[in-house]
Amino acid sequence: MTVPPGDRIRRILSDGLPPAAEPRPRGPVLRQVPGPDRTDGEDTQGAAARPRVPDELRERLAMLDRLSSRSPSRAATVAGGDANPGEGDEGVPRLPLAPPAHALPAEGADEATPDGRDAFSLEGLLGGRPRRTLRGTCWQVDRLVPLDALHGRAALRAGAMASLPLRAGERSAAGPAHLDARDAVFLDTETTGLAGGTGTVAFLVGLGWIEGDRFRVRQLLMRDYPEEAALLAAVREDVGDRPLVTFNGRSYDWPLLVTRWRLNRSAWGVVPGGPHDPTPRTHLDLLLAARRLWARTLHSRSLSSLERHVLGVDRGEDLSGARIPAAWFHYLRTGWGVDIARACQHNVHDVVTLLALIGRVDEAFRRPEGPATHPGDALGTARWLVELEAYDRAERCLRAGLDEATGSERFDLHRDLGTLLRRTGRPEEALDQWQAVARGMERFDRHAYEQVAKLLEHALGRPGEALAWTDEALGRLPDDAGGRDALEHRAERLRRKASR
Amino acid sequence: MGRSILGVLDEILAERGPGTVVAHRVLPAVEARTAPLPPDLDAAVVPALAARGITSLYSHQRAAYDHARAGRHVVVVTPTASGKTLCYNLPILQTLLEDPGARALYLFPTKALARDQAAELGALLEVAAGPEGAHGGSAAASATSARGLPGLGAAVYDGDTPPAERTRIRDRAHVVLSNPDMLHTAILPHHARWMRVFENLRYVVIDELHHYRGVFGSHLANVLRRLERICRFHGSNPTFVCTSATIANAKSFAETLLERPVEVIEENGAPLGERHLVLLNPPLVQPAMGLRASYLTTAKRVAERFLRKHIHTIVFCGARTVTEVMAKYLKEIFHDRVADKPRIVGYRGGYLPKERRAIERGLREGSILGVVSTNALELGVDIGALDACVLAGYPGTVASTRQQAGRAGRRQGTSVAVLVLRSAPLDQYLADHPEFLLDGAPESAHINADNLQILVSHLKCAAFELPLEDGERFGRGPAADEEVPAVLAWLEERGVVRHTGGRWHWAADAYPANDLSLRSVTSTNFVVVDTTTSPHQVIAEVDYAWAFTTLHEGAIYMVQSVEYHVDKLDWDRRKAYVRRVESEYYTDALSYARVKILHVLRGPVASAAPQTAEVETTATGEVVREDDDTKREAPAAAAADGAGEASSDAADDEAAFGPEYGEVEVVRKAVGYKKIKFHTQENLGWGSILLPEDIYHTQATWLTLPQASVAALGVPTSDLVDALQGLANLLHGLASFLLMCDGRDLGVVIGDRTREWFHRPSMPGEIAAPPPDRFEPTIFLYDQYSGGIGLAEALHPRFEAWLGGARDRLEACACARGCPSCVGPEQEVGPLAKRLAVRLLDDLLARAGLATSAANDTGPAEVTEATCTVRA
Repeated sequence: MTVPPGDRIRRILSDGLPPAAEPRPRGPVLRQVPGPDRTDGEDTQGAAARPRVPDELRERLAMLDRLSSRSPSRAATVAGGDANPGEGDEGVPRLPLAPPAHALPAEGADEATPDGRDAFSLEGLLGGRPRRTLRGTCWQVDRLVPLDALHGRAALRAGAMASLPLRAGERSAAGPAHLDARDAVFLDTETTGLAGGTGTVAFLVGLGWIEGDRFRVRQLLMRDYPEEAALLAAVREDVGDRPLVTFNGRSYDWPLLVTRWRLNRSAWGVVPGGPHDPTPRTHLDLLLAARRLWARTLHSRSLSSLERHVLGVDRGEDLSGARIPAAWFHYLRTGWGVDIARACQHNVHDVVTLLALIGRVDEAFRRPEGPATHPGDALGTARWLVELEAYDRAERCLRAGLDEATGSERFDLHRDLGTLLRRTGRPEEALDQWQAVARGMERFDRHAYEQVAKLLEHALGRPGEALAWTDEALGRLPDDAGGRDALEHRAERLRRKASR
Repeated sequence: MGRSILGVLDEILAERGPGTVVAHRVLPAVEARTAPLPPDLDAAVVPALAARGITSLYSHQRAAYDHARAGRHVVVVTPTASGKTLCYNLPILQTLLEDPGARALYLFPTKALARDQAAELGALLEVAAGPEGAHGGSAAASATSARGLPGLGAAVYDGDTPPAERTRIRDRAHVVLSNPDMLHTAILPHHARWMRVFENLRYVVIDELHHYRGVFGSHLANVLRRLERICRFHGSNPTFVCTSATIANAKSFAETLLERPVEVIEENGAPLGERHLVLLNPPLVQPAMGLRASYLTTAKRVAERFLRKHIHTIVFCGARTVTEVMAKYLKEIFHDRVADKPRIVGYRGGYLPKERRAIERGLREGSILGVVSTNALELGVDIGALDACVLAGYPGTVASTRQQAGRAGRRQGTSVAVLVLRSAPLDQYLADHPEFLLDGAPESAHINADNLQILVSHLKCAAFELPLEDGERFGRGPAADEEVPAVLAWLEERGVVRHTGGRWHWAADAYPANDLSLRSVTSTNFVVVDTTTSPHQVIAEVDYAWAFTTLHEGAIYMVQSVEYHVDKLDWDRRKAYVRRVESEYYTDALSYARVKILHVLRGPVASAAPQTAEVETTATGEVVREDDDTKREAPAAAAADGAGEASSDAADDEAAFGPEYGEVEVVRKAVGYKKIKFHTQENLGWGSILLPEDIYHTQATWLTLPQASVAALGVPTSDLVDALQGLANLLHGLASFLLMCDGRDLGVVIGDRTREWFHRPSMPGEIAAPPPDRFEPTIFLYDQYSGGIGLAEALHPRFEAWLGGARDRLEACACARGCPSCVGPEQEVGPLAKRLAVRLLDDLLARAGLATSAANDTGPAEVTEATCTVRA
């Protein structure tokens, strides 16, 4: 009476019904990966190993899909998540007229494209060679960039010379207090999505480090899922125990790689805090730096926005980051290498930008009054310098900012300078700053008046003047504003003190 | 207290009481059955328990401890307030003391329960861990220790946990208290971050297991399959410790849900005070029409009697609207008479969490005298014990009745629960057969973990979490071997997964758990915005499924008995804008459903006799009883033949009479609403509702009447529709009774088999379209959840008991021409419905080869009158 679904399917399978559709054609002969390079020696699974979808089940699944997409309440389909809607089903890639010029191997690649490789295959487009590890083989492409090159307006050599002071959270317990670009590995990943979680894979890891007079950009690429373990092992070998420089890598790239190591049972996937834990290494995240240094001038702190405004780089026809996951899935399905080659190009670009960017950050620290610091950003730079206890440079930075700044930004700079001068034992100069705020601003600023009164009373011993300022504050205090009691209390005390 | 409650009880039992007492059962006080503390218990725990007044365990607590410690999966099935939490807290505490690296995961159906338990567990851990380790989670919400790992900590991890605390909880909390939804969307898809938990996971606790019936349970079973994979990957194999309210099939249910062998502990060792259970039927007002006084009014009067004596009382109502109306009535009565603050409150899903917490606290502390609630308070939310419980209408299941009645009842002292019956068939069946409720087994719980839609969704999540290996089993059901690989292959065609190197990898830029809500298919709630206040304020949240009938424009939406008029419903943004009003009426929406057969999975069960012969027989419409014997063997033959009839088309149906089962599409639409005056229940007018249709896919069992039966009836189509409506009402009531499910889980609709016509409620002035000429009258009963929950599937093979029971009910019902207790009131189904339904049933039973009298033997004995009082 009751027929379990399994029986139904078994019966249908054994009834000699026509076999389920062959796996879709995989695009025009593009998926030609040299046999010996494959980790497992097998490319696509034979049709025999692939389970069939019985017609009856297919019909029910299709119905579920239709129902769930028709209902107004259900946006997601049962299958869901089709990366390339309208294109996945037939598996026919869109053919561009010719591969874009920048998708071809860059000059200076130290691996020639082997002869006989299909010019449209990924390997043909990228160049490079197989990378063998204890966990199998993945693909590796190296490019060498001379440090004399300019990236936009920025000289790469400035990046190579960078030596940045580190804050507590950025360095490992035993690590040095500075990060020297020459010792570091620059890292940027391309992933199968931004959703996070264990289903997101880093299929491409771009690394960069300085070798003498050149910047080596090494890209490690998995051409299919079985190569992931090799990719991760290669990253481990190449990164070693060197400090890291990333952009948003603290919250994105590095935790994602740690997750991948864990899922691949790598020694680097161990319990946090354990002996092989890769997490507490020295790691400078340039996103955090950029946020502080260029907070005012940049609306968007994306890497491309920084490139445009801070480095003066224009990427031109770059494949946008949002399209990179789709390019990878498309490559998996079709073997079509052009889009994924463009994604690799994008990634090379990102890694080089990291080097250029660290040069700018270094310059902003070294010469905070210099051109690398935009006047509007002097405040963020100075605060960071204060945090690093580089008070001289912070002061220069603020004063340089005041030379240029206009409007309300000026008062912020005055305030910070006032606080800094007081802290460094120069109350008289601090007083100037706070008075500039108290009297200069149209809107009443009680805090500024209080600072003036405090400086006069405690640091400079001039209670009479302090009282005058406090009375002035009481006069300007709006009726509905708080703090009247505190001001009156202060005035009372000053009156007593002044009369003594 | 004891005296006054008995005084009220006597009043109710006395003749001048508000209704007819159908039954009165006294459950005598029960002594505790105890067992010594386990010998292996850590010395630090003993004083910690003693400080809480525990020097020995109840027998069920000790049994649970022994099983859990031996690594046997266990489910503890005992009533409310029997000390269930210690059943899991104690073995886990002991394990943590022996191995501080161990971890445990607790799952509760609601966030509120998790928070309750975190407080209790935290306090226990703190005492047991001693002064140096005692930084356990005393604050309910927060994790525990900043000081390092050795201390024992319990922490709630749910949507409200601040991001800053999450890392610490993942790495350090020994017990993580969460819910299945959080496990599904946040924990499993990020399991690498939870490595420390999954590598060391020793126990998984599932509290209120019975709650996971139907769709929610089918989802949970799949979440547990995913959990098992993740544990296996990280090298752990946890023991499951579950608690449940009393259900009939606790063992098989738990084993279906967990897909593991489970030990069941059903003997309750906790003491109980004397408990009275009274079944009350509102008096008959018009006996011939079967009209009784309103059950709401009756329930209100009963509650009023308790409240007047300052007896702490909970009133359970079946629906949210009814809850609000009842709360309003009681508040009006006690508005001026009881001093200070609100002493009477409403409580239901949809209230904002803050408000609910305040009510729970008020109940525990005793500052709230009376609460009117939906079944939201049936769960183990800690509200302390109350003295009296009034159930306005049969909650639909024996298990729910016992849970709700159990809210009144302390370990000492007398408590009273009064069930006021409605005039619905199921309630009136109980009036005839109170022993069903008093002595009968509680319901079975059903899930269908291999429901295709649910399975597909969870396979996607599983592949996302960890690639599936070739030959890896997902679950232990029949689907694991055949359907799972086929579904994966289909998903690969859709570009969602990729098969390579012997594994199925997730291959899409998406986070599948986000597209899937465990509670229903849709995840987005509607918020109700009060525009009377400035700034506007969110006053409630409403499930998607309820929005159709409670938030349409023109509806009166009530919160704490305050009426709000829905001015505007922004469907796309899921917002309802309401305005506070003083209304003299409330609204009740009318909706209808259409059903379309998509896929016949099983044909008629009752017959596999040669079809040609069958056609002959039915053509004459007589010679049925002769065939009895052959037909009686038919089910066996059908079974032997497997699903040979699975795809039988309509032409065969006439031959092989019986219900069919399969997949259907249900289109639900709200068309209009009635305005009903408070107190008098007078109908003040109508409004129409303009909302999109809700379309979903589910499972149904349906019964198409053979053309010969219709012809034999020989009545005009309009009368036939009446008869069908009556039969549908009756069959629906009987089906929910038979399946022991909540009647609202099972939809019923009558229409044409080919979907050309459906019976629907007509608005005033509207003329209902007649059925088409070629009309295949069909009664559909379907699972009211997208994807189905196995009710229709379970109903299909019980055809014999189903139709037989319906015939019995008609026989037993004393009304002349239909009443709410059988085919429905005459005004609704017409004067002929009952008589025609009897004839139809006789004909159908005969066709199916079942004698009409046969079922009488199995029917419950006649206990129509009087009370079965058992005094101890």
